[in-house]
Amino acid sequence: MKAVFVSYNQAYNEQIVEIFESHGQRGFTQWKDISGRGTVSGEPHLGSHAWPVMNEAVLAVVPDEVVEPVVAALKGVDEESPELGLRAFVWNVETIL
Amino acid sequence: MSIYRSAVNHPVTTALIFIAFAVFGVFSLSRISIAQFPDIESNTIMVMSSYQGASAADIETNLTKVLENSLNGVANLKRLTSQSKENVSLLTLEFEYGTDIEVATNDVRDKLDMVNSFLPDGASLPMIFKFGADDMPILILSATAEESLPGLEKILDDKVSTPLARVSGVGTVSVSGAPTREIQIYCDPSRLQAYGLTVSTIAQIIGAENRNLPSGNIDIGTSTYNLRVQKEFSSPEEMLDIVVSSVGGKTVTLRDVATLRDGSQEREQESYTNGQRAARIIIQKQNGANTVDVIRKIKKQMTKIEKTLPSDIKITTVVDSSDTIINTINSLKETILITFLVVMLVVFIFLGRWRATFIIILSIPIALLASLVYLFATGNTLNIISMSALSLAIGMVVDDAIVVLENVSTHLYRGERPKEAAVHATGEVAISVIASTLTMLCVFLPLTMLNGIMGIMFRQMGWMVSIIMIVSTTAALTLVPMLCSRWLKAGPKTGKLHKIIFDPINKVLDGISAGYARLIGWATTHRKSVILGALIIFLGVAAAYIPGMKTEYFPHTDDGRLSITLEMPMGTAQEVTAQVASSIYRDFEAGIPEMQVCNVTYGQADSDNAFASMQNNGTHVISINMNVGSITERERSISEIATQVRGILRNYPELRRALVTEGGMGMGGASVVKVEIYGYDFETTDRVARSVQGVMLQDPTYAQVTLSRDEYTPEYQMDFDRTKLSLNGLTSTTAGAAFSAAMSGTLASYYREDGEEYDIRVRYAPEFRTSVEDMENVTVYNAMGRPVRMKELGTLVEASVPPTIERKDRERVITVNGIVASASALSEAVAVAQKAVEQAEVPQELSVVIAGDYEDQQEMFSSMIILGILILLLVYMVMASQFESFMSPFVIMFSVPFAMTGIMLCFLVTGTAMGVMSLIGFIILLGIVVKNGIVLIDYTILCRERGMSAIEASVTAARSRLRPILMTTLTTVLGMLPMALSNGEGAELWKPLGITVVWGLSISTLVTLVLIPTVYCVFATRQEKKASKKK
Repeated sequence: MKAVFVSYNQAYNEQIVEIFESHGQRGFTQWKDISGRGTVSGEPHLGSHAWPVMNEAVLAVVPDEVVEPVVAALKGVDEESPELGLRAFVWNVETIL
Repeated sequence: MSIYRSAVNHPVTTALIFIAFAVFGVFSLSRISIAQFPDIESNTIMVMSSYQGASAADIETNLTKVLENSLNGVANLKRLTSQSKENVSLLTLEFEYGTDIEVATNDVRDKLDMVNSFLPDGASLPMIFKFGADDMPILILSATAEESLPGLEKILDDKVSTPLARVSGVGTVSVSGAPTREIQIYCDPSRLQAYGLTVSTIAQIIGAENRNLPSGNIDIGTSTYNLRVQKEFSSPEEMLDIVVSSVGGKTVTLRDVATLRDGSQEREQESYTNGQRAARIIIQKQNGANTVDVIRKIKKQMTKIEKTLPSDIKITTVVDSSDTIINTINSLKETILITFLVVMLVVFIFLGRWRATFIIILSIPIALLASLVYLFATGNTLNIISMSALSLAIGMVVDDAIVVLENVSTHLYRGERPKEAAVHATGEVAISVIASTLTMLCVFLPLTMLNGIMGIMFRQMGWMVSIIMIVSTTAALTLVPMLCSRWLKAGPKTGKLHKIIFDPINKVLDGISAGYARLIGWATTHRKSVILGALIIFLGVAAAYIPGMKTEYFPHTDDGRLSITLEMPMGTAQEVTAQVASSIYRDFEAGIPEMQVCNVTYGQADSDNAFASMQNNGTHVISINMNVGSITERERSISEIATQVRGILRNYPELRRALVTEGGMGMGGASVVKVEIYGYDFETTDRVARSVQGVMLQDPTYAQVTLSRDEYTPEYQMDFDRTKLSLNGLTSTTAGAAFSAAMSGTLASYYREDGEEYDIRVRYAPEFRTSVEDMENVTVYNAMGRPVRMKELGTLVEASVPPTIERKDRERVITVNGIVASASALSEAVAVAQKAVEQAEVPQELSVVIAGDYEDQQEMFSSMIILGILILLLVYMVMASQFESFMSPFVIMFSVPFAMTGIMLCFLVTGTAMGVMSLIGFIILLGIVVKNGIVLIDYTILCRERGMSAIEASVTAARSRLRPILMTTLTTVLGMLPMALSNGEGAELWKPLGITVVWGLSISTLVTLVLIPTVYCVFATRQEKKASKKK
């Protein structure tokens, strides 16, 4: 099992969860109205006067074989509108309760 | 969940809520009545008391002063004026506008109750009556007739005034000027004397002969019969056969001593319409009824009535107060429609997309209709003020929607889905949209708290615009994002035609933006020259304008009506007045081609004609109502026609006073300057007044200058000698009664025909009432039956009665009334009046005050200035809290002085005077001009927060924000343009408002677009330096 963490512009909203769902994944954890800034480029999403945009994030734990299609789908979404901003991070899950 | 997300998620509910607003609005629109001005409640109470036999001076001391002293303490009393004339004291109490007149009436009644016991014996109890704008006639019709003329009054009474009085909303209908039938018995005094008869015995005999007497019943056989003596005259000629005396066994009939004339009253008010003898039908409405509604119903009724009238009776309208109202409202409707189209065009050109344009434009009807619900719910009317508010608001309501839509588009281009773009984009600008609405509310909500006449005029405007702003902001935060999420796409497909039209437009706009950014780049590095340049513009315009500044009160309107009151010397006989009147009419007819209806009325009004007897009337007074039609139908303005009328009247030296007033009734006629001279002595005050009048008359700023005080009235007094009276066994009452019976006649009885009663009057024949000798030869019989002539009892003296004593605020006053010429401003006229007063060498004991429109203007200007300062503070406070800074709003406030510059430049170029409407325009500008500054500075601050330097931030903000600024400013300015340029009826009233806003906003925008970033940079770099020092 792998954990997929997606941090993205709030404008994507339900779209991200839908991607997981379309790959048969039910479980996820979502945070709304959070701030963040990319490492390299893009506008910061801070919810301030200067940078009013905010982020959302989804953490989903998925079987290993699903990771690749999900990340590919996320990449597709990101490339469609690169200005919005979307990043995904994947790491191993050691134990599940 | 935020309000915008709920709106986007519930499109049906959102749409329906706004549709509901619109539906209620349309419903209200169908029910709202129209009027010229907001309801102005009457604020005047009159108190009248009579004291038979007292002269004007006695009335003043014994009655007027006592009443004045007690009434002076009534709450909210603004002015107390009085007139003391022979027998009568008339006090007028003017209250502050907005005072509850019912409460005031009770207060007055209480005060009168307290003072009643101090009034002289024989003085009547004071009567209270209210008189307000509602009591002015709303419709004056004139009926002309040929063969039906003798019976005109009866026909009109039966067929016109009675059915009209039944129309709901109609107060009173009175007919005047038609011949009133009266049967005259003209006695020959020498014959009377020959048979030992008097006028009063003849009258008694006629009265006794003209009787029907019920005389009980009688039973004859099985039946009961009523008994009756039926000796009323069945035709007037019967009277001639009455036996009045018998001398030496021969009977003397009335025929032997008198002649009979079955005709009209000797002295009555005569009315001519377009030169033809006519009757005036004067219609007043009930208190609170709507003029336009009532007149509409009357006209409907009149079409039915006209069919029943004899064919020779023609009814024409002399004064129709609904004409002006309907025309005014129609021209405002037109203005609003044009404004709507102009705004739509501007939005479309900037956006280039139909759907986006539609979303923005949709907020206009919704907000406007919602404000109509307020009008309907509060029982107000569509009038000049409320409609101006609508027209004013159109250009401003789209601003919020534009800001929201623009940001949604930006988000869409970034690739967001429409729904999310709508929600987030709205959220980002919500605060600044609300803040800019708050600054507008800072301007318009204080207007709703005004008192007095300003409150009546501008409270509605305040509420209307506030409601429109609130609704449009709500729509911008809910309806607009909802529609955007449904209808807008990221990259809409555009056709070829679209490209041909909009590519060049976009290129031009981009070019302007780039040029503007370069300009700001230059300005922020040449701060001193920019600030100095702005200062020079401000001071230069002020220096050019202020020395020649002209002010006025309300603009001069043109409603196509002239009312003219002419006075011949006191006591001029009616025949002479009639000749002058018809000659003047012929001159008018020849000289004034625009004249449509001209009604001339002169003579003593009947006491039962309420309106006519309120007006100045008498055998020497001619009143003329002239109707020259709507401004759109003629070349010359009403002022030019008035000037010509005054010129014509100058050819009649026999006229002692000629008053030519523009406009039938209500506000907006020519301005009036009153110079009030307070002092006790008639002679000195007269002298001062005449000198002031002389100077004012010579100055071209005045079209007409008159004095309020009447001249002495000539009269004959029969002065009986008591010794002679008692020697002849007479008293002054018996002798006086005989004198008056001979001269003015005795009402002997009534002649009845067809259910109507006509007076039978007995008096000396006219040929025996023409000279002093005739009066001296009037005979009276003493108890011994001996005839005594008047000249044996006393002498006939010629005397003159002192004029009415006018007082204001408990002091004697004479007023010089000056009507300001149309080419001159009120302020110029006041300057002339001041000069005239200085030259008049006013003695120390007199005081002189300049009043009239000037007084009201000063009062209104000073409260407007206070209001302006209050609004300025409020606007600053709202901005300071939005920016959470004292500096930024201070910088933005620099746009206010340049709004003033714009207005001054406008007056300088157009040469118009500053009036109340322009001042309201300026006050509105306080809220509008800061909007551009807010947008610009807000974005500059944002750029600095993103790490740019002050100069860099200013240039970026300039490039990015110019387009929305241009768009919102253009919608406002071009939205005002139809108002500023309109030329329809009544446009004079709202034009100054439009002109002021257009000039103020344009000039202020041009200057501040450069100045504000520059000043901001001055402060910001100072802050930056301070911050770096601290580090």
